[in-house]
Amino acid sequence: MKKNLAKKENFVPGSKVPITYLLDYIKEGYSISDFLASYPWIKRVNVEKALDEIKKRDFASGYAL
Amino acid sequence: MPPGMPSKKSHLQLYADECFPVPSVTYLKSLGFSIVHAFDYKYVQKSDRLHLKKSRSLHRILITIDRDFLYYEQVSLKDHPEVIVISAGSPTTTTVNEICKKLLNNIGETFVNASMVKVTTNKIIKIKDQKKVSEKILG
Repeated sequence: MKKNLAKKENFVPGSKVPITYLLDYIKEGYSISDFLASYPWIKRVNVEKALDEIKKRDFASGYAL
Repeated sequence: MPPGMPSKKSHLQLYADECFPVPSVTYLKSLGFSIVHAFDYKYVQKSDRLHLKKSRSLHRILITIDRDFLYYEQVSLKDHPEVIVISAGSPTTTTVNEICKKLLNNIGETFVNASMVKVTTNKIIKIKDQKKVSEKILG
Protein backbone atom coordinates (compact mmCIF):
# COMPACT_ATOMS: atom_id res chain seq x y z
CA MET A 1 0.00 0.00 0.00
CA LYS A 2 1.69 3.17 -1.10
CA LYS A 3 0.88 6.63 0.03
CA ASN A 4 2.60 9.89 -0.32
CA LEU A 5 1.79 12.07 2.63
CA ALA A 6 1.67 9.99 5.75
CA LYS A 7 4.27 10.46 8.41
CA LYS A 8 3.26 7.74 10.71
CA GLU A 9 5.90 8.53 13.29
CA ASN A 10 3.74 11.47 14.30
CA PHE A 11 1.22 9.54 16.36
CA VAL A 12 0.16 10.04 19.94
CA PRO A 13 2.28 7.41 21.71
CA GLY A 14 0.51 4.10 22.12
CA SER A 15 -1.89 4.79 19.29
CA LYS A 16 -2.26 5.37 15.58
CA VAL A 17 -3.97 8.71 16.19
CA PRO A 18 -2.02 11.60 14.67
CA ILE A 19 -0.62 14.18 17.08
CA THR A 20 -2.12 16.84 14.81
CA TYR A 21 -5.61 15.70 15.88
CA LEU A 22 -4.68 16.49 19.48
CA LEU A 23 -3.44 19.88 18.33
CA ASP A 24 -6.74 20.57 16.58
CA TYR A 25 -8.70 19.65 19.71
CA ILE A 26 -6.65 22.08 21.77
CA LYS A 27 -6.85 24.85 19.18
CA GLU A 28 -10.62 24.55 19.10
CA GLY A 29 -10.89 24.82 22.86
CA TYR A 30 -11.47 21.19 23.72
CA SER A 31 -9.87 19.68 26.80
CA ILE A 32 -7.53 16.74 27.11
CA SER A 33 -10.42 14.84 28.66
CA ASP A 34 -12.47 15.47 25.50
CA PHE A 35 -9.65 14.06 23.43
CA LEU A 36 -9.38 11.04 25.73
CA ALA A 37 -13.12 10.50 25.44
CA SER A 38 -12.75 10.38 21.67
CA TYR A 39 -9.90 7.88 21.86
CA PRO A 40 -10.46 6.00 25.13
CA TRP A 41 -7.63 3.52 24.66
CA ILE A 42 -5.06 6.33 24.81
CA LYS A 43 -3.56 6.91 28.23
CA ARG A 44 -3.34 10.40 29.65
CA VAL A 45 0.39 9.99 30.18
CA ASN A 46 0.79 9.43 26.45
CA VAL A 47 -1.20 12.57 25.67
CA GLU A 48 1.18 14.43 27.95
CA LYS A 49 4.11 12.98 26.01
CA ALA A 50 2.46 14.12 22.78
CA LEU A 51 2.01 17.62 24.22
CA ASP A 52 5.73 17.68 25.02
CA GLU A 53 6.40 16.67 21.44
CA ILE A 54 4.18 19.49 20.17
CA LYS A 55 6.21 21.95 22.25
CA LYS A 56 9.49 20.59 20.92
CA ARG A 57 8.51 20.39 17.29
CA ASP A 58 6.82 22.64 14.82
CA PHE A 59 3.55 20.83 14.36
CA ALA A 60 0.98 22.42 12.13
CA SER A 61 -2.66 21.56 12.34
CA GLY A 62 -2.92 18.56 10.11
CA TYR A 63 -6.58 18.68 9.53
CA ALA A 64 -8.06 22.09 9.04
CA LEU A 65 -6.44 22.75 5.71
CA MET B 1 -39.84 10.22 11.24
CA PRO B 2 -37.89 12.49 13.61
CA PRO B 3 -35.45 14.86 11.93
CA GLY B 4 -31.96 13.45 11.60
CA MET B 5 -33.06 9.85 11.64
CA PRO B 6 -31.91 7.65 8.79
CA SER B 7 -34.49 6.77 6.19
CA LYS B 8 -35.78 3.23 6.11
CA LYS B 9 -33.76 2.84 2.92
CA SER B 10 -30.49 3.31 4.81
CA HIS B 11 -28.83 -0.06 5.04
CA LEU B 12 -25.29 1.21 5.31
CA GLN B 13 -23.22 -1.03 7.51
CA LEU B 14 -20.28 0.98 8.75
CA TYR B 15 -16.98 0.23 10.42
CA ALA B 16 -15.14 3.18 11.96
CA ASP B 17 -11.38 2.92 12.15
CA GLU B 18 -9.39 4.10 15.16
CA CYS B 19 -9.02 7.68 13.91
CA PHE B 20 -12.79 8.11 14.01
CA PRO B 21 -13.91 9.58 17.35
CA VAL B 22 -15.74 7.06 19.53
CA PRO B 23 -18.43 9.57 20.64
CA SER B 24 -19.33 10.10 16.97
CA VAL B 25 -20.02 6.38 16.68
CA THR B 26 -22.28 6.59 19.74
CA TYR B 27 -24.03 9.58 18.17
CA LEU B 28 -24.60 7.83 14.85
CA LYS B 29 -25.91 4.75 16.65
CA SER B 30 -28.36 7.01 18.50
CA LEU B 31 -29.62 8.18 15.10
CA GLY B 32 -30.24 4.58 14.11
CA PHE B 33 -27.24 3.90 11.91
CA SER B 34 -25.47 0.55 12.02
CA ILE B 35 -21.91 1.37 12.92
CA VAL B 36 -19.19 -0.33 14.92
CA HIS B 37 -15.86 1.07 16.03
CA ALA B 38 -12.50 -0.66 15.85
CA PHE B 39 -12.31 -0.18 19.62
CA ASP B 40 -15.40 -2.41 20.02
CA TYR B 41 -13.17 -5.22 18.77
CA LYS B 42 -10.10 -3.97 20.68
CA TYR B 43 -8.70 -3.48 17.21
CA VAL B 44 -6.54 -0.43 17.76
CA GLN B 45 -2.91 0.41 17.02
CA LYS B 46 -3.41 -1.32 13.70
CA SER B 47 -2.32 -0.22 10.27
CA ASP B 48 -4.71 1.22 7.70
CA ARG B 49 -4.32 -1.96 5.70
CA LEU B 50 -5.53 -4.03 8.65
CA HIS B 51 -8.52 -1.77 9.15
CA LEU B 52 -9.41 -2.27 5.51
CA LYS B 53 -9.17 -6.02 5.99
CA LYS B 54 -11.21 -5.89 9.17
CA SER B 55 -14.00 -3.88 7.60
CA ARG B 56 -14.07 -6.26 4.66
CA SER B 57 -14.27 -9.27 6.95
CA LEU B 58 -17.18 -7.62 8.75
CA HIS B 59 -18.82 -6.74 5.41
CA ARG B 60 -18.94 -3.11 6.48
CA ILE B 61 -18.00 0.11 4.74
CA LEU B 62 -14.92 1.67 6.25
CA ILE B 63 -15.58 5.20 7.50
CA THR B 64 -12.61 7.26 8.55
CA ILE B 65 -11.33 10.78 9.04
CA ASP B 66 -7.84 9.63 8.10
CA ARG B 67 -7.11 11.41 4.85
CA ASP B 68 -4.19 9.12 4.13
CA PHE B 69 -6.75 6.86 2.52
CA LEU B 70 -7.23 9.41 -0.23
CA TYR B 71 -3.64 8.94 -1.31
CA TYR B 72 -3.53 5.19 -1.55
CA GLU B 73 -3.11 3.90 -5.01
CA GLN B 74 -6.32 2.54 -6.38
CA VAL B 75 -4.82 -0.92 -6.74
CA SER B 76 -4.48 -1.06 -2.98
CA LEU B 77 -8.22 -0.69 -2.63
CA LYS B 78 -9.05 -3.07 -5.42
CA ASP B 79 -10.25 -5.76 -3.06
CA HIS B 80 -11.95 -3.32 -0.77
CA PRO B 81 -13.09 -0.23 -2.57
CA GLU B 82 -15.82 0.81 -0.19
CA VAL B 83 -14.31 3.58 1.84
CA ILE B 84 -15.78 6.85 3.08
CA VAL B 85 -13.25 9.51 3.99
CA ILE B 86 -14.43 12.54 5.94
CA SER B 87 -12.14 15.31 4.81
CA ALA B 88 -13.63 18.43 6.22
CA GLY B 89 -13.28 20.95 8.97
CA SER B 90 -11.62 19.44 11.97
CA PRO B 91 -11.28 15.98 13.50
CA THR B 92 -13.28 16.94 16.58
CA THR B 93 -16.43 15.10 17.53
CA THR B 94 -18.75 18.05 16.92
CA THR B 95 -17.56 18.56 13.36
CA VAL B 96 -17.54 14.86 12.56
CA ASN B 97 -21.07 14.48 13.94
CA GLU B 98 -22.40 17.36 11.85
CA ILE B 99 -20.86 16.12 8.64
CA CYS B 100 -21.80 12.48 9.17
CA LYS B 101 -25.39 13.38 9.88
CA LYS B 102 -25.64 15.28 6.61
CA LEU B 103 -23.64 12.70 4.68
CA LEU B 104 -25.40 9.56 5.76
CA ASN B 105 -28.81 10.99 5.04
CA ASN B 106 -27.63 11.83 1.53
CA ILE B 107 -26.15 8.57 0.34
CA GLY B 108 -27.29 5.00 -0.01
CA GLU B 109 -25.52 1.70 -0.39
CA THR B 110 -25.54 1.94 -4.17
CA PHE B 111 -23.76 5.30 -4.10
CA VAL B 112 -20.93 3.93 -2.00
CA ASN B 113 -20.66 0.60 -3.75
CA ALA B 114 -17.27 -0.12 -5.33
CA SER B 115 -15.93 3.34 -4.79
CA MET B 116 -14.19 5.72 -2.49
CA VAL B 117 -16.29 8.59 -1.24
CA LYS B 118 -14.63 11.79 -0.15
CA VAL B 119 -16.73 14.09 1.97
CA THR B 120 -15.88 17.77 2.33
CA THR B 121 -17.80 20.42 4.23
CA ASN B 122 -20.28 20.85 1.40
CA LYS B 123 -19.71 18.10 -1.13
CA ILE B 124 -19.75 14.34 -1.52
CA ILE B 125 -17.34 13.22 -4.19
CA LYS B 126 -17.43 9.70 -5.52
CA ILE B 127 -14.09 8.44 -6.83
CA LYS B 128 -13.62 5.31 -8.89
CA ASP B 129 -10.36 4.21 -10.43
CA GLN B 130 -8.86 7.47 -9.18
CA LYS B 131 -11.33 9.50 -11.20
CA LYS B 132 -14.14 11.64 -9.94
CA VAL B 133 -17.30 10.01 -11.21
CA SER B 134 -19.92 12.08 -9.44
CA GLU B 135 -20.40 14.88 -7.03
CA LYS B 136 -23.31 15.82 -4.81
CA ILE B 137 -23.83 18.97 -2.84
CA LEU B 138 -24.36 18.26 0.86
CA GLY B 139 -27.68 19.74 1.83
